[in-house]
Amino acid sequence: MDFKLTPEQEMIKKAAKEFADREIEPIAAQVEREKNMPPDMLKKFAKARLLGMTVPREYGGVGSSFLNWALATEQISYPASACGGLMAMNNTVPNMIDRYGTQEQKEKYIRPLCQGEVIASLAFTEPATGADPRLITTTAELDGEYYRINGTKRFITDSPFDGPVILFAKTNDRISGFIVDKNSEGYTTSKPYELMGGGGWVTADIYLKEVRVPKDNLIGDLDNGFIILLQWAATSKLALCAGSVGLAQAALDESVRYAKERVLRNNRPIAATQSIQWMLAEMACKVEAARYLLYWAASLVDQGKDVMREAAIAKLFSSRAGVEVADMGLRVHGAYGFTTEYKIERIYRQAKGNEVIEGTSEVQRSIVAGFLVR
Amino acid sequence: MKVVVCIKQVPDTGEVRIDPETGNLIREGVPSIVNPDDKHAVEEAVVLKEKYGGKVTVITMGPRQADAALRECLAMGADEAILLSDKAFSGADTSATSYTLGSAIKKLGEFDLILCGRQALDGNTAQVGPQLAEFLKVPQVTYARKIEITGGGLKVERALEDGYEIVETRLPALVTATKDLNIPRIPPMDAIMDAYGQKEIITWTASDIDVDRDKIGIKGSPTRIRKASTPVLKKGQIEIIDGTVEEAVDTLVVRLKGKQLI
Repeated sequence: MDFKLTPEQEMIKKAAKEFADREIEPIAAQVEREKNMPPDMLKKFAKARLLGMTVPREYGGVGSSFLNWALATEQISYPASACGGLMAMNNTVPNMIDRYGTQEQKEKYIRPLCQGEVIASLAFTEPATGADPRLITTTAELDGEYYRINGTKRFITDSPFDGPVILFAKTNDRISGFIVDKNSEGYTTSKPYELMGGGGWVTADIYLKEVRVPKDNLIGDLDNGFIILLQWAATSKLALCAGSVGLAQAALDESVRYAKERVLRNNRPIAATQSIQWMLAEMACKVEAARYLLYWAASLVDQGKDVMREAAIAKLFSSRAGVEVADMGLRVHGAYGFTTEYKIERIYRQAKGNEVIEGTSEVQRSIVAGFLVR
Repeated sequence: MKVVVCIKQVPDTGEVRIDPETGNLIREGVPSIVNPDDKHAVEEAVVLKEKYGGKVTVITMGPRQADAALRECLAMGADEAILLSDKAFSGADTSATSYTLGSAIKKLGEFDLILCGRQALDGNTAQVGPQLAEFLKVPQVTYARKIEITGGGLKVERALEDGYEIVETRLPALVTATKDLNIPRIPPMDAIMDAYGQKEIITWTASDIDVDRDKIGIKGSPTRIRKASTPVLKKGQIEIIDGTVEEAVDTLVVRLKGKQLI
């Protein structure tokens, strides 16, 4: 058991950090405040080869390990969680298309996603599904050479932007996955939701009215979309986990810096006081624990293991750690932490999102418990 | 166009410890990076290659750990990397270093341009580039902030303290890069993987290059370090001058004049 990153992994991490420092950090406050992601950010990700990282090069991907992808996502999420979220879509969806798509689907859809020309989405959630796929009401009915899709999808990341969405619908009382172009006739979206944090993260409902999807756009086997959904859930949880670790590290770094600078009346920094030191130490413990759960789960994916349980553990722990670390970080900052002058305020709001996106903590608990008591 | 870039791996901090006996830097435990000025040299070389074609060879003298620095340059777009590594090279001052690098470049054969960083973060001498040019008997332009290829030569903007001058020279030549020359690219993810998975670092020892053993390493270094220390930073006192803006400025001017600062 070697917990040391290889020199290649170290350089991946370093290059992703340099990218985050150079391209995201200077605009992070503005992106959060104006809730507006610069339109060229995706292209910048593409140039840095941060998209389609785990997809083979023959389809335009990077051909990297999941661990490399996790290391990069952690760094990109550090200054702004919405950037990690944007990067995640054009990594996890190409990964699903590579894993379950036909040759034609891979050739058609993966490269534009890796090149940042379009933005991917994945649509499972509906107003009444919660996390239970059996409750899907969106239907896909075969009509000659097409499927006719009708229904509503809720909270779908990047659904208003051009690109493919992997969409799950009911077929023969089971579910199937379809690759749907988001500019298809009959495809419309709601106004994006106003979010508590993670400005620049766009999520909206999708309305599907008689959307005609070619038969060839079925992804995976008919009536077998549940398998794709489970795989998607595992990888997207790892992206969220990496986002939580990045944010938690940012909260820790901001708090250590503040604690060293903030001086009391006796001219000693608050970092010299035991109460602050205890908080900083506890924050560091949580950050490291979350990080190694992420690396562990990502390494298992690289070994070809099924990580449903591990991804749920990593996501549950890291998203909670992110919230707790941000909370302690805010307390280290005192009243200043409650102002928008300091980064800790937005980290606090962003961290909360990771607890509810891609399955709430309660859903993760049910998954983990399922492995314990089944 | 054949470009050779000389780089150095340096400790990533101003807080390096110094061996009290030898006066040399203790590198263990300190993260290492490609010397910042050298990255500008690598970037320029890759830009020239992209524009005019050719090959970029990166070369460094250092311990085996310098492998990481060379691979970063490969990930930035260099084609070939050579590590000069031998116990016989250790303890080299700038003279022995430029002699060793120069001897290796002679072995590489013909070149059009050698690029070096202006100076290294650790030693700050800015001597290796100029000494290398002298050794190889090629013209040199230091402190470049812009490089342009002209018909058969180079036009370089050379940074001065109060402006810049334009220097034209024939090729082959040696140019040292400043941070104003360009913005070094961040290596893309796939290039990093290729730098580790596809490319080899060529290692040369003293026996692989034609060198006089008396001119390399500590033996070939006339420089003797008598003492090395980190300057002690004195913490300044902050004083707030009361009064209206006009009054405060007047007081400040009087104080600064009193200290003969203005």
